[in-house]
Amino acid sequence: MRGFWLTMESVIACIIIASFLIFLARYSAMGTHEYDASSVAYDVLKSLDDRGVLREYALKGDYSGLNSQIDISGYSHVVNICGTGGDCDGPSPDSTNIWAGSYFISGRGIYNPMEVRLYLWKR
Amino acid sequence: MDMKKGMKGQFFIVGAILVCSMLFVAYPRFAPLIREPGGDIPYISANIQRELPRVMNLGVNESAMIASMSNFTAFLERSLSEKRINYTSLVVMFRNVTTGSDGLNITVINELGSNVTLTITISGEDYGTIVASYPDLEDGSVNTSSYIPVSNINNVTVAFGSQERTMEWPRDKASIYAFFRLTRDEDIIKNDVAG
Repeated sequence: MRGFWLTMESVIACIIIASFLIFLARYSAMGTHEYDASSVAYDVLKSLDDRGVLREYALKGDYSGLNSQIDISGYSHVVNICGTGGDCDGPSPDSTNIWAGSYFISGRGIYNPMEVRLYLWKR
Repeated sequence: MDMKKGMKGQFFIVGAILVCSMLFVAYPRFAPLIREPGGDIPYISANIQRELPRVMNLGVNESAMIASMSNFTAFLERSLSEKRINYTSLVVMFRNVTTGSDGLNITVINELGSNVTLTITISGEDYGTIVASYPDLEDGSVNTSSYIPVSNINNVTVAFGSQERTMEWPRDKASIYAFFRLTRDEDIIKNDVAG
């Protein structure tokens, strides 16, 4: 009987220690995943394009007008419009922890490619 | 009390700690090996897939189909390289030689980063099958070939490497098949568009 209880003691010890170590391993593997808002940025730009709004403002170079069409709860945002030469028009984002989403367009009516960037940061 | 007998439980616990520590060390090896491309690459892929046919159509409107597509490809390569994404592509565009004629122009733009062997098969009801072969299409090349005659409605198969896609091509419509890859570190997305 004594051997049986000693064995039980070791099995219980194994279970407790293994549970603790596995929990520790999972926690360290998960890390501190921060929410990635770049998908939000893309979805916003895509929805503006689906509504026919994005290209109208982008082709006029009206980044502030385009920015005013965007309303994301909990986030501040600015829009930049970039041409084929890599030059971008628009204000710089006012934060150090920023998500960015890009949307490429080829033009409307005429070929005029540009990249529309939406920068987001938490308020 | 017999000390040797009394110490047995502690040895069991020490043994348990050793066994569990070995499991803990081995645990990461059982982590899943399958991963999905993360971040922005899937969205950029969907964006490009929607935009490439527009590029062709805008180019057709301005009688600059090839120049527009070449320019847009270079634009994407440069813009995406700033995000550490490598963009490579193969674009095939089909168009009437002149509207209403039964002649066909096929333009191939290879920006895959390597030479490729490409075969395009066009078959329609009115005329026989046309096979356009490009045995060693150079990377960075633009190639336009003409074929005559072609039927009103055709089935077109584009094949290169392990890729093959069949699409319907009405003769009086400019059509595109494009294959592209987006790569950043271990993340790779391959996608194509036909229409």
